Amino acid sequence: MPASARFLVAAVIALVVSGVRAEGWAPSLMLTAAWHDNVSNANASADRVGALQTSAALLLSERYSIARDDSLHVSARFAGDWWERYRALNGAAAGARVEWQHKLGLGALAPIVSVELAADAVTANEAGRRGTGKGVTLALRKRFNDLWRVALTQEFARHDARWAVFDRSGAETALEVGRDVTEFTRFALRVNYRKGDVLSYGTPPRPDLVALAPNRADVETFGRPMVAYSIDARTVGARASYISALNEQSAVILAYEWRDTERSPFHYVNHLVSLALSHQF
Amino acid sequence: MSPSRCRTSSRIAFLAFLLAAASTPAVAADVAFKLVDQNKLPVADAVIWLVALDPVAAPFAPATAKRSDIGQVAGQFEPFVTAVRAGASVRFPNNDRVQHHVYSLSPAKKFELPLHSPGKADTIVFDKAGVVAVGCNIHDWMSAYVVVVDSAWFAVTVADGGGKIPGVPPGRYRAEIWHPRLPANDKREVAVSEAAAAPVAVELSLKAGFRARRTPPAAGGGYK
Repeated sequence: MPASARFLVAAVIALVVSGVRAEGWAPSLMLTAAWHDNVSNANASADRVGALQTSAALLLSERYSIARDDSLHVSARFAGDWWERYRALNGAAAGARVEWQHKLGLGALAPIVSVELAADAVTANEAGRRGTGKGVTLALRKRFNDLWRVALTQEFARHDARWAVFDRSGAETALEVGRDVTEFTRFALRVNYRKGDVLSYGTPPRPDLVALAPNRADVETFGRPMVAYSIDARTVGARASYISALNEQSAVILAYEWRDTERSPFHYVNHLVSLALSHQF
Repeated sequence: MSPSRCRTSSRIAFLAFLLAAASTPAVAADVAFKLVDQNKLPVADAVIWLVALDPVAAPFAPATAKRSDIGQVAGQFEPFVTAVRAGASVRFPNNDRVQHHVYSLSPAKKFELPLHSPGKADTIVFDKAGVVAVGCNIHDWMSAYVVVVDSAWFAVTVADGGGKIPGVPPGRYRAEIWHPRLPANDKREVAVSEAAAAPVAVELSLKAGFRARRTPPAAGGGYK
């Protein structure tokens, strides 16, 4: 077990046995159907593969007040992906999150800073993808009034897989602005910049990608022989989402996301459309 | 206590009783209101209070005699709007499964109940007239109002827009109406008589606005 995972397990056990006042688990479930126009992250049109992904994620959270303005959130997360056409991508993850939150003052408009540590065990149909994931997320959230809110996050994530080509590490900065449209609906716009590994698939020979990807592997993820190239690239993206609350616990989220990834001269674009149902138990 | 001090206290209490009995009108009426908005929809959670324009005596009841509760249940304050007379106390029982941090930054009453755990029920005295917006520092969607009035006659409207102020002595009054979505208090004169009267119908122009709701977050997609 990696050191970070051992730390998280130890932290959870320490909290549970210490008797710190807990708030009770509050599970939340998210079911998502997303259409990816370019799952293969390919820059050649012949290699571009579109697919539908369905996924479920269950998050069980416990909040511990540790001071007037500080709280610790311990979560267990279980997630699964299902790809109807490309079963090799099917996978599941189980892990833990520990987040420290500090509120800078009193009131709904007071900013909140947080640091979250995450660790996951990941399994997949494609054996080379199995491994562990870990990450650190720093966040600053602020509401300006009843309508507008903003969140700035910086995430450092790493996935260590069985095959080096499926290893991924990256740093992502994101800014999300949300506006309540009505009492039950909200619009959110998120822009992000990411620097890190991406996995692109191509039909060989691709000497241009070979020059950029020290780690690569022959795969049949998409039902035909292709090569997976791990490329250190930068991605800029934007995501617009419309959230409609069905009641106090449930919401549907319709979103469109655009990503533009480049490692000159390599370049590809993704478009994603998703519909999600979120339920807070 | 010495016998002489005891006699003095008894005299004062008796004189106070006589004064209250003499100043309380023989017949007091119930004043009913019916509130609708500009779309003719009933307006709930409005506070109506009466200010006497003619000299009348207020009912002989100290402000602290009646206590109100604003509970925390299932991540919400209940009730949303509470009206109290200046000097009254309000209890904040946490009937939830989770901790809350009840607070107000309103000039009429600044207070906070940090680490307000389930089972706790602290009491706050509201001694100054005004509108006190109450929130939870942990759960931003939670909100409530305490409307503190300098009057013995007040009511909060219910779902059908109706509200009834009991025991109002006959005379002329200024009725003031507050609602979270009302740009300014509505003020109008009403006459109260001993005879039963139809509810006072009031149409309010409410501004757009809404209560923050608890909505699940929208998560972004990860990278493959």
